[in-house]
Amino acid sequence: MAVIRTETLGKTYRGGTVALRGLDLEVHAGEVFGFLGPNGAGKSTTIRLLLNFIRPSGGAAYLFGQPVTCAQTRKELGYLPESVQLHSYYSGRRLLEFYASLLGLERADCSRRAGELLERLGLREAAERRISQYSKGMLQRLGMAQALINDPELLILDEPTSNLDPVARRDFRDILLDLKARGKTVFVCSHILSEVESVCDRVAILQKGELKRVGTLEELSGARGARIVVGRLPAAVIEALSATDARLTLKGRESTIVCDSQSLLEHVRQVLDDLGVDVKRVEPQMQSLEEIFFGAIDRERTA
Amino acid sequence: MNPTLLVAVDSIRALLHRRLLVALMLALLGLTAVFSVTVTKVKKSILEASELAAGISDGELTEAEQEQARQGIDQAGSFFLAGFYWFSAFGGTVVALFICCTAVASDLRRGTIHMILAKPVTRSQFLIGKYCGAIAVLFGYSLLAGIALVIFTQVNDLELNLAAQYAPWLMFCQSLMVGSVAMLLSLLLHPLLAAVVAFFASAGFFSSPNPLFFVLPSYDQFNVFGLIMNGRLIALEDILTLTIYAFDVAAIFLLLALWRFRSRDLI
Repeated sequence: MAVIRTETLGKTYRGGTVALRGLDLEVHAGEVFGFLGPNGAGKSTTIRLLLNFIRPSGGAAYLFGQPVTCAQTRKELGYLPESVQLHSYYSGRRLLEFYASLLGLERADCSRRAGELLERLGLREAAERRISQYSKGMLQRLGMAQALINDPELLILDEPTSNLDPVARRDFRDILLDLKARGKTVFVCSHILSEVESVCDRVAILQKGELKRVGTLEELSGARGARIVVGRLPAAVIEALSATDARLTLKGRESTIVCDSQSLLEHVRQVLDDLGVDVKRVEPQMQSLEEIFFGAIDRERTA
Repeated sequence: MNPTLLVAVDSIRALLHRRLLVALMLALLGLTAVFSVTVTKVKKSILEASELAAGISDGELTEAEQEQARQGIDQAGSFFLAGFYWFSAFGGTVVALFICCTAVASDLRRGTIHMILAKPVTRSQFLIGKYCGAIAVLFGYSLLAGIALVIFTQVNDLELNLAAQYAPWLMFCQSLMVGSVAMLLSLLLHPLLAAVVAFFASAGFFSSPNPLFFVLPSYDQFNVFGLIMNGRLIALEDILTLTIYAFDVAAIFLLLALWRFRSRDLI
């Protein structure tokens, strides 16, 4: 089932700025979905539309199969904004209890969940302190705690680690991996590509309000080529391969032939077949997310 | 607990943590107290200095002259009472404008509105909660002003006439209306501009007959300044009618505010 679904979703702000153009997207239950794009690509606009903070100029958005205008869809949702703005007059514990009560949790459950999350996010010591006295990092962690207060089925995170130090970032990643293991759906916007790469099942790349690419990392880097591993090569084969663009590395009893494109890969395999060389294995060459991201962005810039 | 009630309670908490608002309310009540003390002193000095006062106590004046003098003193008392009422009612209007014009705007500016609306809280529940919170604070202000009025009359040995007795309630009813108008306008205009427009958007500011009487609320009947000054009574039926009118106007403007709030982008 699609937990998030958008159909030709578009948004034009007053003044004529087109922030999003006909976005068609599906995020399935249990997947961690990375939503990438440079500044001004339309990521935050998409999140605002999904949370019904702004109205679409065209198309529609659905959460759990229901229109986003239905407040009940947010019962199973957790949201962490990029810049966490919390009610500064509460203590950390009281704030979590307040949000939990908005979600309809019983008073006893509110206190229990608040206590658990404060402990888990390392805020137990500061639980009774006023939020106005919290540091940026503490606010971000408290923000994450409020997003998890109802143990949501869907978590929408907008730049979740932007204000965190490396240790807290690792803790956040662990939390995401834990959520993934528990079958929760996570929709995460981030500029930190390595972070997205390490946790996301699928990614979408957005630029100037348009969806450029979407798929798993394997799908997005599939056309890159491969590395062919063979045994010791006779001189005739080495000579034949040197006439191609393939890069040959001879190492002991094993040789590797790196092909940078699908067409080159097919050509080299043909050469090897013709010369009767036994192929041990073919390893698809994966592009890193960074390469995929910049590939999509640069292609647009060139165009 | 109902989300509307939770938002209302949170709104009260937020308002009481706003130093500017608390300072404004305390300043208004403080100024009223200063006014009260000043008036008491002035009144005493007038009476002491006046031969008329001496005449009343020594019996040097005729009965008719004594009656006339007593009436004059009573009138002065009513004037002071009315002045006291006007001061606190004006303060109530300023506080209502301040609270209701910034109720949604401050949450939008801080971004806390998004944290609440990301929960299963509808926009209507949010806005009604905000309004209820504001009204609760205004009720508290009217109550304090009422208590101050009683203390003022006791200190000055004045009679708390029927118009003055109901004055705090009417002040609160007026706050209901002013607040709802301010809230609607704050969703259309800058909060400061909304406050100015809401203050003047009263049918009372325009001469009758005027078509605006049918679309704008009238605060005139809630201003019992004249009644208090003249020592005239106000009927309970009138209070009831005015209360219904205030709730009616507040409901209409709140519905308009809801309609606007549901369709606007919250950024």
